[in-house]
Amino acid sequence: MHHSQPPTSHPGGGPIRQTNRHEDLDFPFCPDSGKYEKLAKIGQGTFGEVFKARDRKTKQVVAMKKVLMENEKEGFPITALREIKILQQLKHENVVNLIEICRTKATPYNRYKSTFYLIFEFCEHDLAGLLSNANVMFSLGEIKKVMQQLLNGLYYIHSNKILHRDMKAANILITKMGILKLADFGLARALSHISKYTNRVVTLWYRPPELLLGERNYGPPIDIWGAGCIMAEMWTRSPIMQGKTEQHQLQLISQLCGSIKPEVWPGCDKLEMYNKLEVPDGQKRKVKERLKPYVKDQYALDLLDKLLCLDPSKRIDSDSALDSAFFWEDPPPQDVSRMLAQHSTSMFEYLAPPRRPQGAGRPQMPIQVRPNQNMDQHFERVF
Amino acid sequence: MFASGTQKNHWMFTGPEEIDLLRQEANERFVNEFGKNMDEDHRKAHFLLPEEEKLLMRHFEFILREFCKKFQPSMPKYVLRFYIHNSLMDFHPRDLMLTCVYLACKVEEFNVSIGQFVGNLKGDREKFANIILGFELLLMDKLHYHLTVHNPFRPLEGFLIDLKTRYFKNKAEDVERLRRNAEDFVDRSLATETCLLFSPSQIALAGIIHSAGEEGISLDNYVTGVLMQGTTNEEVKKMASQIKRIKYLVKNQPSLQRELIGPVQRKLEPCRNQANNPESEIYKRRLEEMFEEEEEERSRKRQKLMEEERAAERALIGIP
Repeated sequence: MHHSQPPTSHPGGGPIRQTNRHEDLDFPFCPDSGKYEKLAKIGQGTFGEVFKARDRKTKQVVAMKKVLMENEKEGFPITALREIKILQQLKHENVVNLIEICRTKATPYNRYKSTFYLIFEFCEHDLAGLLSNANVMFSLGEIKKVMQQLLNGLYYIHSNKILHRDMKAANILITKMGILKLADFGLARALSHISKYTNRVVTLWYRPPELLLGERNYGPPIDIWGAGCIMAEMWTRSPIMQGKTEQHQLQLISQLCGSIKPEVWPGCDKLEMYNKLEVPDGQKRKVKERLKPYVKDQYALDLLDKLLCLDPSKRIDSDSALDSAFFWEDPPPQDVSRMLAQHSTSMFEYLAPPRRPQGAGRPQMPIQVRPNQNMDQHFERVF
Repeated sequence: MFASGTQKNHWMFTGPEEIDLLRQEANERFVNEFGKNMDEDHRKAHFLLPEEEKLLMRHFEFILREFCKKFQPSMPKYVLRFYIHNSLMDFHPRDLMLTCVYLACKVEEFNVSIGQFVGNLKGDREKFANIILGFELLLMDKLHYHLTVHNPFRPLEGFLIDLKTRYFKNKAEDVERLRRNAEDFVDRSLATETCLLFSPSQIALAGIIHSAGEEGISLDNYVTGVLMQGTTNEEVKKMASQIKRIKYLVKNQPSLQRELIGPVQRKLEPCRNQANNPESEIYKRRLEEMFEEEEEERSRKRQKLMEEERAAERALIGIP
C-alpha cells in the first residue's frame, strides 16, 4: 500500500493529544502525502542509504538516512535503536543534529516492509569528499580549525560516555558555514560496566592496533586513533594506511608506528590475536619522519605522534590534544567557511571519484549488523 | 541530561488529573469510533469504562513488574506512557506488555535475542515472537521514539554518596542503613504514576527522607542547609510540598481489587479492536494482504524493468 511513497511523520512536539482522528488516516493513493521530497542519494551509511531531501512545507533541506527493516529477525535493529537513543541525548555544535524520525504508516501488519528514516540537518560536505577534490585547499589555519572542531566533538561525546566506533573522513561532515559535525552513530554505543564489546568495529583503514589485536575492553582511545589518521589525511589527502586485510593493516601500522611489543606497549602480548597474527618485528617508529614530507608544521607532527600512539593507555585524550601547542601557536585556527564559499557544489565521498593513489582495494566496511543464520552469533557481534 | 531530554519535555504531567483526563480522552476516542451506532446504555454495557481500563492497567502493570524483577528491576516503563494516549481496548495490554519489555531490553543493552526472550515465556513461543515483533514498530511510533527513561535509582545512589561526603562524614554505615527502605520506596513508586509527575531525583529524595524518618533521623538540615543551600525560602517550601505529594502518592495506593479483574477482562474480549488482535481473522487477513501486495509490487517492478530493457534493445537496433 505504501511502498515507494515518502514517509509520513509525527509533527513532533509533545505527547500528542489525538483529538483528531484524521491524523491517523492513511492516504495510500496520495503519493504526495510524505513530508519530505527526496532530491538525491548522497551516501551509504552503515545500515542504509542516505538522501538529500526537502521538507515540502517548510522547504528546509535535510538528510534522510534510511533504516532497512527487511529480514530483521530481531525486529527493529538494535544499532538503529542505539543511534536514535544516542543522538537524542547528544546536542552539540560538532555532533550532527537529529531532527526527527519518520516512517511509513505504523500498523502491526507491515513490519516486513517498513521503512524508517532518521531526519538530520543537512550538511553540504563530508571530509572525504572535500579531500578528494584537488581544488579544495586547506591552509594550516583551516586544518587547525577542522581538527579543533573534531576533537571538540570527540571530547563532548566521550565525556557523555559514548564511543563513536566508526571514525573516518567520510563520517566527518562540514557545513558550508564551516561547522564540523561528527556523523553516523550507527556503530556507536554507550560505555557501560559490561566491558566486552565486539572488536569488529571501525573501518579497517582507521582501525587502531588494540582492536586489530582483539581487545574487547576498549574505550575512547579507539576514536582518538581515527582522529590521528584523519588529521594526517588533511595533508596526504588520502587515507594513510590502506590495508587490504587485518594482517596487512597491522603491518602498515608497524611500518609507521614501530613494532608492537611489550616494551613500548606493556600487556599487548596478552591480547587474543597477538600470537595469532603476525606482528612485524624490528620496525622503528617513523611517524614524524614519514609524515614530514607532507606535514611541514612541527607542532602538527608532535600532535600526530601523540594521536597515533600504539599503546591506547598512553594515547593522548581529546582534552589534552586540544591543549597542545598545535592549536595555540601561530597561525591560529581559521574558519573554513570563506574557503568553502569558493565551491558551490556539495562534496561527498559517495559522489566523488575514487581516491586511491596507492591502488588499494575498497576499504573494508566495519562489520554490519545483518541478520544471520545463527541468531546468538549475530547478537554477539552487536555487542 | 534529564533536564534537556524527552522525558521532562514530553512525558511529565501536571498531576494525576491530567493523566486521567488524557486516558479518558483515549477511551472516548475509541468508544466514539467503535460505538457509532450504539446508544449510551449500550455503549456503557459493551465498552470498558475509563475506571475499568485503569483497573486492568494496574493489574497488568503489576504482572509486568513481577516479570521484570526476574532480570532487571530498573527497566523503562514504556507501557505507562503507551496507555496515556491509547485505550486498552485498542491494543491488549498482554500483547503490548511483552513488546514493551522486549524493546526495553534492547534499549538498555540487556542483550537477549528474540529466541532467548520468548524462551522465558510459557506457551506458544513462536506466537509470542510474532506478536512482539508485530507490535514493536507500532509501539516505538506511539512513544514518538522517545526511548530514554530516567529512573530514580541512579539519583538515589547519588544522594547516598552526597550524604556520605557532605553530611554524615565518617558515618558511612549510618547512611547505608537508609538504603534498604529508600530503595523499597522507589520500588513502590514505580507501581504508581509518580514517574509521570515528578523528576527521578525528586522521587529519590522523597525515598531518602522517608527512609530517614523510619530510622528516626531528621534530614531537614541536610535538605535546607546543604542540598538547597543558597536557594530562596520560596523554593525550599516548593520542594517540601513536592516531596510531601510524592510520599502521599506512594503510600496511599489503593489496593488492587482482584475480584473485579476477571469480569473486566471478560468484558474486554468482545469490545476490543479486532484489527489489532493477532488471533482474529481480520488481523490474519490484513497480514496476508500485506504480503500479497508486496508480491504484486515486486512483479510490477519486474514488469517495469523488462519493459525498460526491451525499449533499450529496440533503441539499440534502431527500431522506434
